[in-house]
Amino acid sequence: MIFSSGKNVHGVKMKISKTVFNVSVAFADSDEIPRLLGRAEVFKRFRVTFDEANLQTIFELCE
Amino acid sequence: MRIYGFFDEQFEPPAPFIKATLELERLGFTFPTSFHIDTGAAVTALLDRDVELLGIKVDKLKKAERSLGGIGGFAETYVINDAVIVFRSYEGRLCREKLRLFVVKHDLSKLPKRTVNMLMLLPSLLGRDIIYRYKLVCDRSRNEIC
Repeated sequence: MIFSSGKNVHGVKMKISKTVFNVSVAFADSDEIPRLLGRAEVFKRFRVTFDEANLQTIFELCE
Repeated sequence: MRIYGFFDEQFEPPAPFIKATLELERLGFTFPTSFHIDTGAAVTALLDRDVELLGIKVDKLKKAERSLGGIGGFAETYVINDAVIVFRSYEGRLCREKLRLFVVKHDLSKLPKRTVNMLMLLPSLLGRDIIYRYKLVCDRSRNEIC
């Protein structure tokens, strides 16, 4: 679970497949932190399936 | 077989959770709790709030080979090798999973009050060690997590 202080958060456009939307992205000041896809703005738009047995993560656009 | 979780609206955005019972036979504990389903967590872990609530004496546990980090930095991490987590399916079937349960305990006396307050809000985590034994579907638009 990630919390952000807000001072390093910027609005950017994100594209997943053909869907473009605005997200707030927190920028870490260290290269050792991997990129994280959080729930905010993303998970409300997509039905997300984590299917490890088939090595698939699927994003389906919600209607 | 389908196991349903829920979105906890206390978080913004609402966070996926699942109810489960932990069986820690060696400690004589069996207790129900809710876990945050966290695909960003490599392992399932009890965090400070649940450790305090349950009165788990970490000095009786084996130290983990590596510490887990997050808010409050890296913390002393312990492991219970023979833990069992039990989920109840929609059909009423009990699903038991053996796991190495990690127990994270920060030294709260060395942290700023703001950090301590934040830590004590954090739920325990259901990590990829368990999540990947299932297919996880997260559909906020239908308020469905299973």
